[in-house]
Amino acid sequence: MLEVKNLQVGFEEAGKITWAVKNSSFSVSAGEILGIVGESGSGKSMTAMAIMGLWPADAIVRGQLYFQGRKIDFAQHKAWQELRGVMMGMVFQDPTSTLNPLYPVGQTVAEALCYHKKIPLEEAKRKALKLFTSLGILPAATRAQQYPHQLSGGLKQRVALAAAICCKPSLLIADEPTTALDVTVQAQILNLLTAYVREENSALLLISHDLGVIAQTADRVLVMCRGVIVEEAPVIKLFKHPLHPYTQLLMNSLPRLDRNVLHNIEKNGTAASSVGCVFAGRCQYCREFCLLEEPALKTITENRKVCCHFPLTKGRSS
Amino acid sequence: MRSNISLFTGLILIAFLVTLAILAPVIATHDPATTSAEKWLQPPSSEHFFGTDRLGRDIFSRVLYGARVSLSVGMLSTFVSLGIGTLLGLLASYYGGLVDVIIMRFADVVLVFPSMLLAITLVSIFEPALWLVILVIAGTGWPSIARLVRSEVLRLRQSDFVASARLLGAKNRRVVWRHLLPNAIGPVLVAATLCVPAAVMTEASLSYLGLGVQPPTPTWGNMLRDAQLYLRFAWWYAFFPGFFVFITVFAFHLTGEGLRQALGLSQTARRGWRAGS
Amino acid sequence: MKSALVRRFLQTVIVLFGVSVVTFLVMHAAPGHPLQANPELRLDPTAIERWLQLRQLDQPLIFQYLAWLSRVFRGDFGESLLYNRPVLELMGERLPSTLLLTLSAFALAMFLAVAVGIKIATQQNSWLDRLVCTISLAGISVPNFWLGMVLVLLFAYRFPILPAVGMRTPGDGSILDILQHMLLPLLVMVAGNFARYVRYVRSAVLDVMQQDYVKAARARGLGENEILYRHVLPNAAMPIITVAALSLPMLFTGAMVAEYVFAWPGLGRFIITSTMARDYPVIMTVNLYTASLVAIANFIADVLYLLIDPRLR
Repeated sequence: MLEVKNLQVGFEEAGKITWAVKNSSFSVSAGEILGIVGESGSGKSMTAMAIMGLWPADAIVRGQLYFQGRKIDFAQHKAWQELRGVMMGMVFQDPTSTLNPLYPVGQTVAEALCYHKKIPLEEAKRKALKLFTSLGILPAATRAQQYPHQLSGGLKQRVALAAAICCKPSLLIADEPTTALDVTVQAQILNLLTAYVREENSALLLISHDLGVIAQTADRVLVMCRGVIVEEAPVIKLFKHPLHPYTQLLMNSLPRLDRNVLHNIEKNGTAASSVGCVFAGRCQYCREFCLLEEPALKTITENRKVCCHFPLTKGRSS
Repeated sequence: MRSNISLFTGLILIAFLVTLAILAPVIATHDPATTSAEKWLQPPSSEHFFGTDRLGRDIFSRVLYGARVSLSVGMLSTFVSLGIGTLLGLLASYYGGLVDVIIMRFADVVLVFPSMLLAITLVSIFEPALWLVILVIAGTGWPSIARLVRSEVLRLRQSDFVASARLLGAKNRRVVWRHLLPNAIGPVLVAATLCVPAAVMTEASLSYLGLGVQPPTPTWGNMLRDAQLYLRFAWWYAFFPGFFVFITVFAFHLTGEGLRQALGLSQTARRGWRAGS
Repeated sequence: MKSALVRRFLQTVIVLFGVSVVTFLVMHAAPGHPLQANPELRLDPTAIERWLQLRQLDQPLIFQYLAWLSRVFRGDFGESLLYNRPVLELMGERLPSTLLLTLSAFALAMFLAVAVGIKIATQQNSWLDRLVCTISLAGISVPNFWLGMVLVLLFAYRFPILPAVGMRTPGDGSILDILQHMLLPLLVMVAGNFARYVRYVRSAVLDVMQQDYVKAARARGLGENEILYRHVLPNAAMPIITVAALSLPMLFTGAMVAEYVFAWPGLGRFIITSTMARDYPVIMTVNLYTASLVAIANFIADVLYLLIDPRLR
């Protein structure tokens, strides 16, 4: 469905390019939920923005993108405009800032319908109301008349979801969709996202720093660290048996009831060097070789990939 | 990158103009007041760089001395309005309630008067003089500073780092001096930098209208006033004093703009000035 | 909505009241009364006494203020000391030409600024953007009276295609003639105001374009035009309205100086000549009039905010 090859996103500063995403390749198929985890600054959001064609004006983007078998040229913004909203939808982190404060929320959804489907406004409004009802924005008719500042965070995120899926895109990207919400609302939004994927057989790219969210929702997971995909695995296998030391570190930092010590992720490490493994400075298993040679993402078993010279074995995981 | 260029160019220009003003007696090629009947309205030459005026006085030297008036009016009136504005803005935000209402409504009242109109009205009551021009410009300039200081303090007071300072037991005075002022200083500094060109412009306009600093003191404004009558015959008479007003105002605008960008402040952040109105 | 409106209205009334008090007090601070201001008039002391009594100038300040205010409400602004005619009449004769100049300058400058400001904001850091930014910074730095003189030098003297002063050629009141006379003063006023507005429009539009809801609208696949006209501009309208209202006093100041340079027979030139002659009733009335106009314009801006932004209602 979506195939990303050698994606690079960088920023030029004083003649030097700093890469936020380095040579990432992955794919998503229809009906699949692909989770991307990583700490802040690991390049997850930049990856999403590059796929949507919405990178910042000063960013440099390279690589190949195939969407439903069609190649998309990074230089042509026009191509994306036809895809966005219709074939690709996106839900952002903070629903408070992603809805235009001047319009009733119903109008935001109706506007997108009206624009893409070329239907009269009245019909678009009726469709928007139906969508509101199915997403639990109740009572739909009243809610549609209200402005963003009159709605709760959860309702606003439902509206944002409605606006993103109103044209039934076959790829949905959700960038930290639950981070700004209460825990009680988080599950509801995740359920709505999952339900959409199952009903429409579309693909979902779920970006989160929250392993809990990923574990609950995703089918397959990419772990990103400093712009590099360090591990790729089906969700159950990843949690049972992480192969990359960074994945292991992420999991150890989760609070658990059976342990009373929380592991910090040491972020200091050595300064970013251009050679060697991106995680080398913080890796407790780091050897001299890791500092010199950059590892490649290699396939370990069927649908498991890891980017490490010395992947963890069962005996070594803590 | 660009902000550094405007800041840099602006500061260089200001330094240059200030040097000209301070060293005016050294640089000037002629006495600015010496008249000469046979040398009136001469075009620029190697003897008189900017030509001579209707009384045969050297325009180059008069422009140099004019810089003294313009720059001192600009900077002194900015200091005064900065002082009054900061004080009243702090008082309004600190005490709130009735004090706030009275100060801010008074600022509103002053702000609805066109500043030039208020200035010429005040000048018409008293005798025009240098100190009066400075006070009048300051009198119309303080309300914007007061509004800015007030809204900055109110904004910062609600910020988390002030709350945490209070939680750590910081006293009021410490909060004001260590936390509020250092953070409010950026926008205020920008506003003050932009106050100077406005003052220079107002002084020049007042003098041009004959309501500012009076002859024989040479100022750019009253030179332009004289020049208007001879516009048809002596372009240099009007050109040079006006050009120096332009360069001075431009230099301060560049600096203010550069500062604003360097400090990461948006131009429309000035919306805050209306906050609570 | 209603309560916010009432609050703004009350604030405007308070400001108007303040304006009347300030105007009155400033005029009262004049050393002595108008007759003493001119020492060349050697008047009989008893005559002065009688003159003061006649105008109730010997009474306590508060009574004088109230008496003056009640006259103002009845539309009686006194007589000009210079012309011996009602101030209102004199102002009425000059108002149309000032309004003609000021309003057309405002409309033209604002229209151009919005058009150009949006254009350069959508192509930030292009050569056009940099050019307009630099020119506008220079534009706000040029003294308008000097710009006027330079233009007169160029277009009236060096290449005599336009008249230097006045509003019309004697005996010719045709629209074409007025337009010809208006062109230079209009150019001067538009230049300064355009420079000021275009910077605000640009930064207001840029501010909004960085908002998440614009990014989200893009992610929904809306076209650039829809995004600009339906999402960016309505949100950028508020700071632009603020600037329009806040810049009104500056507009008057600009008009005053421009009218003086080009001998335009309007209110601005009138107030300057009156100031030099110390014609206090005129100065007072013009102050009161312009300040009230600005206060009312600010109120209108507040009402517009309420109409545009549902969060304020």
